[in-house]
Amino acid sequence: MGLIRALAAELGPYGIRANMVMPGFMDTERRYPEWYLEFHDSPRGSSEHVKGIPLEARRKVGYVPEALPWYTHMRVSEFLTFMGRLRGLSPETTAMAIEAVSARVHLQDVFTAPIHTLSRGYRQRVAIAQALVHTPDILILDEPTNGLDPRQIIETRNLIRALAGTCTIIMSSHILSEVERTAERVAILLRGQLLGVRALADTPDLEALFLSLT
Amino acid sequence: MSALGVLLCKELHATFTSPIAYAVGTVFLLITGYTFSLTLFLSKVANLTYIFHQMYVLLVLLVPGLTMRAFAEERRADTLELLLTAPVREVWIVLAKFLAALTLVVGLLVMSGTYAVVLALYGEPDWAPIYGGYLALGLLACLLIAIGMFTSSLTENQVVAASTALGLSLMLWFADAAAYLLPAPFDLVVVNLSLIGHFTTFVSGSLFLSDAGYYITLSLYALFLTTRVLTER
Repeated sequence: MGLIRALAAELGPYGIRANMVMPGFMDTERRYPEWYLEFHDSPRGSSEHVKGIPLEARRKVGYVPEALPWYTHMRVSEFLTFMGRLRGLSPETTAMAIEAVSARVHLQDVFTAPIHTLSRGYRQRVAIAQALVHTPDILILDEPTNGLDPRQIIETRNLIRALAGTCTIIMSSHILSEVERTAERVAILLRGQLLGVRALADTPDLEALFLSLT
Repeated sequence: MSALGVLLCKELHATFTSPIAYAVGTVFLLITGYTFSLTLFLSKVANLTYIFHQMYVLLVLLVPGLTMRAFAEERRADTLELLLTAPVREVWIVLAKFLAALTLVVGLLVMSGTYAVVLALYGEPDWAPIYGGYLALGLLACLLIAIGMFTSSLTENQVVAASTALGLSLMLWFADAAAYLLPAPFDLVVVNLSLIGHFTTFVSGSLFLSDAGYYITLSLYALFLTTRVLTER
């Protein structure tokens, strides 16, 4: 059973030390053997582009950090172009990909705006757009609804669910209600250790599961 | 374009849209221009030895200001995580930042080349010390930038990065002073660590591989340490 085209979330107390967890997923099979093997065995995530070739693995991953990154000297279009080119896309492919991804996350209105002038909601979209520009197999979102107002939270949740059909999404969160509304599967971690993976459909009471495992 | 090319374009864009580059450039050219005019009119001797020593001091003082942002700013703006999770090797990230800073400093040195042109137009300068001086300044810039990159990779505080780089550079500058206190063969070691000791031979027109090797080796070592810091994150 692969994680591809599924929607997963990971949980843990105190915000699960996501900084350690997120980069760890990409290059450390030792730390998350179960998840690694699922990706390893999945139809699209063949072992060749993960095992032993971290750079190739990174090429398949889009990452949205919790703290929204932005270069003060860049406009939205420049930032997305830079991220696309950095991931090895040609100029033509980058231009087409940026157009598609901007439409998908509704960035057209601010396409030429300097990133530092954007609201947090728009910056969140820019962060998601940069992670999607190279059409990754896996999209990793670190606390994607942190600091957003209720409308932005709903929009972000809808956006994540809409993206779920195109790639695997791994989202870290310590807000149980948000996980229940967004994810299809949940993995619970404590201090970097994977305590359990469940389908939310088989988990009537996520809080009870969380407390029992931690 | 390779990942290094993409990163270099981004770094050059960041460097030349930053007011720091223009502030440093203006200070550098104003002070050296003033001193050049003054010494030329007073001494009426067609050489740049004095200017080269002044440029040496200015680079030691100003380069930490140029390099302090390199990684500290990326950490502060949370963009370093993006770079480190992108499919590029850490060494390309370090090299791109190094080359962008070096481009700016070399640009300043090229602009200061007008002093040599003035000497050539109105006198007959000895070119060996001038070539040697510019070569020494280029190598010195490499080392100072590499040291600045390293200290910037250690912290997200730009002031800490700049002051640490300045401290390291000054310690290298005055390293030979400790030779009087040390027994052999340690005195020779610290004498050979001296930044100024390897600089003055170039400016006098003598080119030794050992002097060039000093700057190149220490620069590569500092860049290697910077890459290790990023890799270990």
